[in-house]
Amino acid sequence: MSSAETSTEALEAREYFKGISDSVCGIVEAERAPRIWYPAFAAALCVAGVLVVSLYILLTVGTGIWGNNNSEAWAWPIVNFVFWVGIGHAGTLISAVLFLMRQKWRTSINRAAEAMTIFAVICAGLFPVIHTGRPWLAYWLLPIPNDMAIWPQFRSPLAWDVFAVSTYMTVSILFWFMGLVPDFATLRDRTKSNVKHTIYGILALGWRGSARQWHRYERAYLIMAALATPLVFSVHSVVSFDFAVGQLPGWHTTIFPPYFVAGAIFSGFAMVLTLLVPARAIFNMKHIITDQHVENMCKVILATGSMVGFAYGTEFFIAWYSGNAYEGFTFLNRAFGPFAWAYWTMITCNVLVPQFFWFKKIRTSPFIIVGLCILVNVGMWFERFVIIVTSLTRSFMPGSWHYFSPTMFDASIFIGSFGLFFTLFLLFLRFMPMIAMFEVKGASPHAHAGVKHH
Amino acid sequence: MSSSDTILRPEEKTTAGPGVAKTQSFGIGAGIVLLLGAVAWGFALGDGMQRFFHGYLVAFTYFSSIALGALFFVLIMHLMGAKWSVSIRRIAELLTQAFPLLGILSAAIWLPMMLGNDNLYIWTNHEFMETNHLVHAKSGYLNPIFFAARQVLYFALWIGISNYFFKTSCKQDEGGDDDATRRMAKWAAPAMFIFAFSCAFFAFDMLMSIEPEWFSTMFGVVYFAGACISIFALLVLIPLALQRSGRLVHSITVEHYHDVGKLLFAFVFFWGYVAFSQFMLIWGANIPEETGYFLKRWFEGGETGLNLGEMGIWAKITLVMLAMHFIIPFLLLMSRHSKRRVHILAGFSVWMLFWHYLDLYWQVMPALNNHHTWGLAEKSPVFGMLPLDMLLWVGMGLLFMGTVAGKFRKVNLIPIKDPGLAQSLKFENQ
Amino acid sequence: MSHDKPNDQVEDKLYGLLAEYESPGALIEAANEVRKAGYTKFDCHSPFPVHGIDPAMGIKPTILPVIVWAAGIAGLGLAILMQTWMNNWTYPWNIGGKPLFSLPMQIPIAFEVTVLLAAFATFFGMWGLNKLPQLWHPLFGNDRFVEKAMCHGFFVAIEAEDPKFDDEATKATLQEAGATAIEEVRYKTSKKHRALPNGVIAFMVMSVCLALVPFAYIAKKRASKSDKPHIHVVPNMDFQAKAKPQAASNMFPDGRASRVPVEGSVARGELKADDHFYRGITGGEWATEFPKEIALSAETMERGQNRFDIYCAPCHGLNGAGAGMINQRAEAVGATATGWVAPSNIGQESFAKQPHGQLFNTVGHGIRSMPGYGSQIREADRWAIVFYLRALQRSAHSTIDDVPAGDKPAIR
Repeated sequence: MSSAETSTEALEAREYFKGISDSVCGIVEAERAPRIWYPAFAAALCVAGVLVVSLYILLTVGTGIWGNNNSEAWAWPIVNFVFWVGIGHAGTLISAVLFLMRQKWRTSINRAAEAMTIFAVICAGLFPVIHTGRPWLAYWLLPIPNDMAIWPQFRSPLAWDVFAVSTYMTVSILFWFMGLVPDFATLRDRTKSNVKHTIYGILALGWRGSARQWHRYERAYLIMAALATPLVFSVHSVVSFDFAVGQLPGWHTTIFPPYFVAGAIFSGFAMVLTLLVPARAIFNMKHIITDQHVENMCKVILATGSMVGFAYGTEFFIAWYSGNAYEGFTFLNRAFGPFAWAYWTMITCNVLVPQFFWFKKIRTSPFIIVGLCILVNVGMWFERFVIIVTSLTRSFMPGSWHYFSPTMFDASIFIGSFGLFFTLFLLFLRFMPMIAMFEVKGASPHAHAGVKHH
Repeated sequence: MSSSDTILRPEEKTTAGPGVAKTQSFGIGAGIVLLLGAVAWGFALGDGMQRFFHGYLVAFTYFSSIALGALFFVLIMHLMGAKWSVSIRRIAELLTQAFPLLGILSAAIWLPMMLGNDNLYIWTNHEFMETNHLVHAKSGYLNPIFFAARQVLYFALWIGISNYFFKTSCKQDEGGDDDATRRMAKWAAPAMFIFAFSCAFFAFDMLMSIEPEWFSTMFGVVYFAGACISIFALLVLIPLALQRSGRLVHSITVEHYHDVGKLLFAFVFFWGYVAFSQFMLIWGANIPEETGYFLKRWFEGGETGLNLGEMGIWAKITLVMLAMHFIIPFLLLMSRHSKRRVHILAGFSVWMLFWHYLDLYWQVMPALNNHHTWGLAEKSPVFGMLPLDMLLWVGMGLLFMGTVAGKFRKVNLIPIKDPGLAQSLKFENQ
Repeated sequence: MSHDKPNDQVEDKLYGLLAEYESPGALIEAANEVRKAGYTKFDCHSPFPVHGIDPAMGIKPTILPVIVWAAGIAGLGLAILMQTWMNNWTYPWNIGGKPLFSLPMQIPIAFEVTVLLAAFATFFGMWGLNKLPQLWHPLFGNDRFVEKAMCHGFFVAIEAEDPKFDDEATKATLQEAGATAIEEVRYKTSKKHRALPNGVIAFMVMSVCLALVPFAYIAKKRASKSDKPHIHVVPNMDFQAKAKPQAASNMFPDGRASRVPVEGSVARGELKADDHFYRGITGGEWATEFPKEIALSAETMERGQNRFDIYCAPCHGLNGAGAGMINQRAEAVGATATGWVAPSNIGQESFAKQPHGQLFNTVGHGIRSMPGYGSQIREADRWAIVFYLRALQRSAHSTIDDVPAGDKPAIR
């Protein structure tokens, strides 16, 4: 290569790097957000208001405002919990698992997906806490020395849940923040405002992109990814243990851990697509989050949706094969009992809907993708509903059989949690770099500009 | 990157050497002799071949798991469009060519069953089925005709799928048709779907139904995890053997070994995860119809408790397996160094191949005296006839090796015209 | 963002030389050259990690994995110890018949805590090894660095403290390595220039103080008394519109919330007027007949046997001879010495002579150390038991002649 060629190559690379910084930081630095951001934020805030009001009523009146009752003690709050935790799996999966598998396309979406994870886990954490009935005593779940000299019951999967979800939350935040630091440094060095310079300066911890620091940083990132990968698997496995350790027909089945994990990834990716397909159009990010990336995510949804379908099939077969009358009844009851409508909604949305992603035409039409992804999440909510409600309303004692009906407050708190989620997510889009700039730069072919091959 | 002829170094040898032909003739010859010897020995025991069939089942599911793992590897790599693995993919493709042999070997399980030999699966015994209502309720599924039909179906599917991918890939060697890669990626998806169900049900049929009262939805996944462990172990050992004989010296680098090592590590962990989940859920729920499986594999021939002196042999084997199949390889393979030093990695591969055999042995052999428990046969000592089991394992292994070696002779050991080969050759772990 | 005052007399010290390179590749080569030239105190700066720069600069692998390993092992041990200590030793509580030390059930938390501590070690260990946060650095005073280093520039910085540093020679080295620009980086030595702005410090101090307020408030409230009633978070649960047993009420003259039922009230289904059926008494004597509600049929006999086997057999034995499981165990552990009264042999003469009503009464109310079973066994079933007792008593005195002719060979 002649030196003139090298210079052109280097120039192109530098322009590409600057272009990435300009377009990503541009969103954060802009005086005004894109016009649609404001009504969206107002709407999200209103829905979050519904949550606040519902929670106020819940706290002052008590959990009797829900449809929960003696035999259906879990009902919607736990359905919502599992739903949100599931959604919270895609972020860390994209950051960690795809990182370990060297899927470079992840760099364009991992930041937003990680943010989504954290907000989804916040929404998820809300539900078991309010489901305790006296949330101001929720710290009793933790092993804290106390006057009564009692300790948590570690043989209960519910205690595992506390550890799993809080560990997941903590590690997700650490991972997210670690990824943000170099990008905060970019923002710090670009801003002209003193206040922003101070805030970004503190958040960037004085990062100066030194190779000696990058060396440890990359090592740490790799270790974090290696730790987060089994963690992602463990969290939803532990959530599945909440059910599977018990003896209730329809809950106690050994395939639950991997099946829940696949379902979580499935719903998480669907949520990522639901959010990012519109976001990349609004913020003009189509050159960074490309059609190829969207297609890849559609394929992941197709794959995990099929895994979930595989688990449904296995469960149904083994329910018959086990020769256990209760197990067999539970599954027939799911499919043909009073909640058959929920069961078939689940099957349609989780097994049939993703099959549309076989077609390239569908994988490349944004509106259809978003529509299908919303259906997938509807299906995944119903999956948890079917597991929890059908098993509890048809437990061993026919005396406690009944039909479960939710109340207005079940719905308002669930819908309100979407308000909280979207409020946080819209704030993130507006005030933080929604794309990991340094990773996109490092993963691009330009990162090798001027490197001589030996 | 276009597929040109200059990707590989000119001095690279991509076809198998004379040693492979020897392996083929020796493997097939010795394998058949040893297996016939085992048949004679099993017949001479006069227990209606009961002992023979159990050992045979372990060996058969062991080598089936290798071929299934290879098929999975081929499919997943096409499905994900992985480039790094291109240079070792042909070896996995060649291993899937063992399916016709395995299909023939499977007949030794279902044919005697259809001819009325009921000494392997207790559910083939009429007397048992008439008295045991729980298992009798499954007779629509667990009956010799349907069982045999399923085995034929599984092997037909597997032979069909593996042949398609093998032949298409070999054809690409000649013409350099880039479109073939795209076609294979497309067909890998439905093939994977078929693979998932057939692999799980194969495990249910062959291994889970040996304890017909027991059931676990996770069972197929555990078998699949073992299959992956065995293929990744072989994907270290076979390339190493080929490189020793001067083949593919430049095409397979420490980076490939490192990645296969990572996958081996990942599946050791995955095996631990699914096997533990299966055990813990059953232990925790403590439902009698489920715990029997583990109780038999813990208390048989010993006392309760954790006192080593009083423990039965199966309890000891269980603990040893926990350490050897999971904890030790998990801890030692975690390090980057043990995955990049090819000889250490090869050592672990041999290690895992051995413990994978024991895993299957642990699943099958405690069922050996099921017939005795129901008063249908004499009690058979489990370890008294260990040499017969070993003979079956080695004999079938030689036959497997010889058959696969025969396939190695005929084709390139690397997909020389695959569009992803160039990337695979210069691939580096970061 | 500190602003220099004109009279600020501080030394302007040389930090080192900063050279810019045009591409990642050029940076790697420059790093290689600088290292070969023998410099040790130098660093490269780039907006993203440049691959291949570690060997070029001679960076040794970090010790971080070792720290993470140690923290992970510590987490594992800590979690097992914590669960064992809490569930085995200080608070042993039997749940679902699981052993107090249930290792399989400890694994999930052990795993989570291992990951948590390892993640903390990774996160804090990495910042610690990188000596961050360090908000002040001489390079941040260089405009070129600030403009490009985090965006699209590739820099090598050689510190003046390097033993080989020599202004001209170092410049030449950097130039030869292909630098597109070389600048001297100087900085003010006074501490004031490195300090955080006062506003930031004030903000941090205030936040910390404010964050302590709730805890201080709780601590104060815990340690002090108050006349006010405590806060009712859920008033609907705390104040329910109902009268509780034994509570006072202004509504009634006697001031009690609980009311005495009207004289002669009988709860539904509790009238039990039929002395024969409910008490086994006819005309003031123990009934000698079965009440008319009891059909003297094979079904009643079976029902009686069934109830007997459940309620009576544990002590009296299946044949009523008094050798039930409980009695066997009591004798085995030597309870007879400490006052165990052996259950009677139902077949004995004195019982056989008792009227039906008396036996019925014994089943319902007990006798000597035998408790009454009236609360567990409904009347009809008690009569069925009595019916079965008669059969047992009959069988206790049976002879071979009682056996039907056809069955005789079977018991010989």
